[in-house]
Amino acid sequence: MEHPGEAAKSRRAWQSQPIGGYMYLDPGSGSLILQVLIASILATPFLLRSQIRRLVRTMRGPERPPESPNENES
Amino acid sequence: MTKTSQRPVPDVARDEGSFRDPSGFVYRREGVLYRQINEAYAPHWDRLASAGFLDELVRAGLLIPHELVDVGLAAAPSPHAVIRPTEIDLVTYPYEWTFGELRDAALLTLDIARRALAAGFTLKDASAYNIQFWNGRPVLIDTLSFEEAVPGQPWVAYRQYCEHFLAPLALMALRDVRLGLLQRDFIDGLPLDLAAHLLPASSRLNFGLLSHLVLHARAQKRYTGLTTAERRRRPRMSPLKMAALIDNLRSTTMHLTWEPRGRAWESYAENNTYAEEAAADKDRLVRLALQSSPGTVVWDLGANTGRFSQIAAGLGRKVVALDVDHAASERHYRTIKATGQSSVLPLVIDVANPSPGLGWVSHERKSLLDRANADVVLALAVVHHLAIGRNIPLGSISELFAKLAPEAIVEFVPKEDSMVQRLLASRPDVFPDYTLAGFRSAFGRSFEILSEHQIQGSVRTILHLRRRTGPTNGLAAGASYRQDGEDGS
Repeated sequence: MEHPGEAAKSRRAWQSQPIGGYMYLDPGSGSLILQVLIASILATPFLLRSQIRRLVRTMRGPERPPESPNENES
Repeated sequence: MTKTSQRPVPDVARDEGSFRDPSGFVYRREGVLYRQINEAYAPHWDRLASAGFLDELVRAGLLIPHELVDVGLAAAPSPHAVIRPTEIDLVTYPYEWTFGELRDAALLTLDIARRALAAGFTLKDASAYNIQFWNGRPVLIDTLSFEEAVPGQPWVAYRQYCEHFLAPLALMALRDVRLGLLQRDFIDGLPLDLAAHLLPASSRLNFGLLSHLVLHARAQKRYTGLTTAERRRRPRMSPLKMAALIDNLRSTTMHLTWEPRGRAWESYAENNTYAEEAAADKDRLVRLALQSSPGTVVWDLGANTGRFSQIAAGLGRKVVALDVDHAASERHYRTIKATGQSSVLPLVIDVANPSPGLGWVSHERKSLLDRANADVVLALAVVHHLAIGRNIPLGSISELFAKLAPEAIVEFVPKEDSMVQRLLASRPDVFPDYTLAGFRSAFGRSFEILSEHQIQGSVRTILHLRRRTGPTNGLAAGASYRQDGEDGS
């Protein structure tokens, strides 16, 4: 006979598995949550940088906008 | 726009790689490539049209041009519009590109995402298969990749960008450039946990790689257990944050570099045993043969850094330059980019193991042979590598060339040549048929010899061959390529 503790352990293990197993795992949620986190960290420095860039541009005269790989040697 | 209901008709062939996106799909009608825009996509399409955003991208050379055609040309019910996109000469896949090509495709994707954001749209797919090389430059070929931005919604294609571009580029730059071939096994993008596992520990010191790959992989694992209700609660993000994210992805991608260094073939063109006289005569013979061969597309097998591809391009041909050596193809790509050359496309391909058909029913991504569009195959100093280096019988090499194109310009390098001697130095000579006579007889089954010239000052021969016609040659009729395969279309 199975030890009651063992049964509970295996039931817990079963419950911790997403229903249906691997095929229902959705990596999308993690991607969205992480994206928002990273973007929050990046936003302030990005804003500062673009304002400094804008300031430099107004002091130096017009500059070309950031270019695509098609237009420059990247 | 008039809306008609159209039943599928027999002359319509829906693209086998174009089925994932409900917005529309690509098909051929009487040989002409069209893209149907479905009713489901109508609001986005009309908004894109009225904002002139697609035109702006086309003018900037970032999106393949298209023209709006009669909606009656649709291939399935509920069409909203039909467009005829400009055709790409040869559809290629990211696992066939050099590091520089993949990186340029990545930067193009981010540039388009940035412009879309500024115009009030969002790039909903960041699939590497949506980018193709056209006139020497990467362009987006999936015109239906945009949707009106939903305020506060994070970038839906963020994960795809990391899996399709950032992960393979990081592995190629920081671990080994050959890891680009992993893209062939994972056509929906490299799993980020695998990429994080393979990246060197030092990559954790780079904020971009740490966050977009390593922590991203961990977040995917951590949040897989969310309930459906939790998943539906989408986190919100301002346009400023999204711009910051795209900007950081761009700088992270820009900082990934790879320098082609002295490997086997890279300096081959300069260091091989050719005397100046022989090299000049080889150029002359190849040029002569090309001038007398028909058609527009040349496939240069074993193109190295592109000496003969450039000759063909100089004669107005479109060239696909294949080489197994990544460093050689990367150098070639850099040369054509620096010179603004638009008619040569260098690819990293092993002729002895060409790209197979992949994906759904093995047709979603076509095999290289299914995409062969060459009028002439150029195979210079390559047959001995296949015959002696890879033990492939001359007859089989001939069959491959005949499958690729109706004509071939082939260099035969005999055993007396020092380069073949080098190949034979470490193995027994089990190639009794590897002679010029043996070559003629093996290739003679598929080809007739139009001309044969020994290169002055060398023991090598240039042969111009034409495929025999008729049922006996057992060859695939010139397979046509298709502009296909993009995700999300």
